[in-house]
Amino acid sequence: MTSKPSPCLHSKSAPKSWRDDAARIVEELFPVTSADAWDQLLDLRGSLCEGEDWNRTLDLFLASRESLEAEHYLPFYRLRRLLTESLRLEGGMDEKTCLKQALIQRHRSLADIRRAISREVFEHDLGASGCPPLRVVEVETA
Amino acid sequence: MNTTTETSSKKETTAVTNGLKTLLADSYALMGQTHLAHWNVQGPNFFQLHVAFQAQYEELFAAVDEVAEHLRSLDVLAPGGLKTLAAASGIEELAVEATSAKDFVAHLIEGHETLLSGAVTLRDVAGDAEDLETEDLVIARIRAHQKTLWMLKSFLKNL
Repeated sequence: MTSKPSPCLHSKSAPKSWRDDAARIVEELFPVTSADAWDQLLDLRGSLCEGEDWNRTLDLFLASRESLEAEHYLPFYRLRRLLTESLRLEGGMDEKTCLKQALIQRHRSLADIRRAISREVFEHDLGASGCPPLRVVEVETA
Repeated sequence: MNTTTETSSKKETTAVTNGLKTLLADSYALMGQTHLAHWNVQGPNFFQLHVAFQAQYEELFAAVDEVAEHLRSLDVLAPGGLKTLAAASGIEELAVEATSAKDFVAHLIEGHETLLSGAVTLRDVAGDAEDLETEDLVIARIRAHQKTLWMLKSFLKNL
């Protein structure tokens, strides 16, 4: 381990530089983390650069944050801000603020977020069926 | 002095004063954000951060005055007023909502980084224009922001 990460080649959304910014933040973590974390970081970086499955990207972010944020709060703060500006959570109660609020809390996965939303729906008696499956989508830019 | 040199010198002076106006606006905006953090910070580190943020916004208040008065010494009017300064500043504003102490610190780090980046450019512009007084003032501001960044980043380690 480990070769230098390849350039960020997100051909389908090349103009969206938030992916490059996010990938760069992840790259800056390699020299300051132990090799044990590198596979996880490579997966996160790859998903940010070229991924199309934003649910997976979010799960990778949450997993990396869970293990690394205590020592590296600032890069995960920057990533969180980029993700909440660039992605949206569909299926929650308030789609506009849902992802921002979900990422401020200490959820470990998208499934955790769904459980928390379901609990809130139940407690506020907002619907018998709970929270529908959540989907993370990219915010369309003009 | 020939015309080409005069024009070049005027351009450099304008670049310096424009840079000082931006430095003023960014410093004022960051002072406001630091004041916001001072008021709204909560949690186990409240006393420590409340006091630290106060020291930081007071330092920025003095810096704003120094930069504005330096602009006047260059015979340029200093920009002022919240709307004018907010429009001229690149410092992002936090929404007024419950924010963790760590997020306040991280937000202020980003503000100081933005300000520092502009100040480094201004230092070089002032150096090229051989405006040693501005260069000296900006170097002092760079050192102040570097020191605050060190402190804020140290706070976030291993929390």
